[in-house]
Amino acid sequence: MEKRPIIIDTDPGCDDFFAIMMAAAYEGFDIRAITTVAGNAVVDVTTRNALDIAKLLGIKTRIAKGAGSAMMHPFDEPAAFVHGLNGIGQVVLPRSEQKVDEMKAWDVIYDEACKADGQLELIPVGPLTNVAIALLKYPDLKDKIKRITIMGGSTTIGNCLPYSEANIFHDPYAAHLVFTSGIPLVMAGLDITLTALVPTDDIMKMSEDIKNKAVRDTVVQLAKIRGNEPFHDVVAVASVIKEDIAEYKDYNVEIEYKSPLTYGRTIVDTTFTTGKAPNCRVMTGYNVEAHKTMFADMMRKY
Amino acid sequence: MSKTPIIIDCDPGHDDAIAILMAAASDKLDIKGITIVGGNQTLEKCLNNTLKFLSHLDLHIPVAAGAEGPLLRGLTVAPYAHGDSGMDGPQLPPATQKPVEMNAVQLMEKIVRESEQKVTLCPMGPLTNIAIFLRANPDLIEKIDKISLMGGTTLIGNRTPTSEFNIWEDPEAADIVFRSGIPLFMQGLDVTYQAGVNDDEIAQIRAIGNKYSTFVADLLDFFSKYHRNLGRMYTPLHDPCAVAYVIDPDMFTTEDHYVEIDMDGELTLGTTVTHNFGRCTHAPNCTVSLGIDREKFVKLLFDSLEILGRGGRYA
Repeated sequence: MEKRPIIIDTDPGCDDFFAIMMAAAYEGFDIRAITTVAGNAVVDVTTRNALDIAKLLGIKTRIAKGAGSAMMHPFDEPAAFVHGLNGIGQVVLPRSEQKVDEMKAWDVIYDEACKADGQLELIPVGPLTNVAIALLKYPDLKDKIKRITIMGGSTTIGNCLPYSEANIFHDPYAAHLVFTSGIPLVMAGLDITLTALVPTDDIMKMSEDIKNKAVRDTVVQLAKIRGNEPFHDVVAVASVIKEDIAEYKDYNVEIEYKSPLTYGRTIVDTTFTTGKAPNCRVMTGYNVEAHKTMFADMMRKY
Repeated sequence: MSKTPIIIDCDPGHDDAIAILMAAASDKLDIKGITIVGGNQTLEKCLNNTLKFLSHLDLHIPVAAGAEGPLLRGLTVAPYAHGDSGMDGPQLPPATQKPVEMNAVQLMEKIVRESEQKVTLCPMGPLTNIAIFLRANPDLIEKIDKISLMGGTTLIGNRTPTSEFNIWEDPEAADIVFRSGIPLFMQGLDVTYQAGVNDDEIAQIRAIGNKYSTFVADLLDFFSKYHRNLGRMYTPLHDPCAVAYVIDPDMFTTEDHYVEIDMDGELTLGTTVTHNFGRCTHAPNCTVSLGIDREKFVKLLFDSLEILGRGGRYA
């Protein structure tokens, strides 16, 4: 089987860890790069985490550093209350000796897109700044990306503002650029990822199948720290691996970036009020049991 | 039992007219005045529609003309839902009644000042008149018992994906009302789309067979076309919810939330931003209706039309 080239754009992040873990466990993927962005922590920290996570999980790929702040605003404050100051709940990972790629995240995205001959898929699970910069710097990039599967946004409820989800909220301008790019988009929004809960007790049980002790210890620590909170980012990766794990509808989605009250809201036109053509395949349902099975299977690969 | 004095502020409007009839039939309410605002159609058309149907139905309630358009923005009308007249459907003779010699805000002031009881406001159009009244009369705010308004939505809009028409039309006015501190009861699209009648029920309304029910059936025959074209089984009775809540709040299920009006959004202008996701530090300013006992609501409408048919109301 020909492996599918992907890039994970990420801000690790507890749930980013599990997203990367699931992608790396899947034989069908060729992870061409991991690109990092500020989000759950400042970019130097998320990059350090990405390097160390790659080492721990035995992933051999380029790791490129991306944006330290959103398109239009300086990076203010990492989401420390969610992810701990080092982004992964103060869990200390074995240090990797791998060097950060000489190219920036957006240059790596373009470089790999050119090499992959139209087959490259992006899985951004943080703010969309790197992807937006890549699209601005390389106008022809939009014709070279097969699909972008985003963890971000929401059709209903938010977690930063009443309707605004964190990844889009952190850089709505970048999200706007991505959502208007014309590239096929899949949105795994917060309303869906909130349903994808694998209870901590289940993860503890599953982790007994992990042969690599260092990996097992990390999984146990992260699961404990996280408590019974869904790993949002994993949903995006799982749906790229197994498309029929979710239900989808094609809708027009636009990003609000002017209003302080709805900054970063993904406006999903579920009632076709705008008359605008769909630009995004929006997740509308999710098979949580299949998700748990994928989680358990993933553990056995390490 | 003393009746609740109310002022209906509206832009008739099919569902506005039905709301007025529901209020007129209720022995719990005393409609002190009807104030008109530009919204569904121009002020002139909405005023004319009101005077025409009140004349035709022989109901005598003071009517005053208010704001032609929003506080700061231009007026956008909704002929796609209400037709060119703003109340297409019923064929009515010209009005014999005239508006009072006061504008909407002056009439509200007179009613509220003279009332011994606190007055309830039932706005069912853009909130322009109400906002001007509140800003012009800080001393009368304490004499407003509550505001039960038709407008807003916690999630899905009708004018835009996120915004309901009345709030979208004049978000600044809505902001003034939502920050007023007056007990606020929001009958938004969350509940009003549940408060509909189906075609069978429209036929039953016609079968009541008095001039009130014939008028309402004519209104609904026209109004239902728009909603049927959108694939809806029920024709929503948005505005009557504002009145029904005052008559019988037990019919509704509600939640208390802090609600803010978006005045800046490129896409979300006029959204009633409802802090219902659990990280809100503000005290609630609004009781938001989310459900309704539809059968009970429809029965209230049927009963209202039968009561009016017996005559004697607002004669």
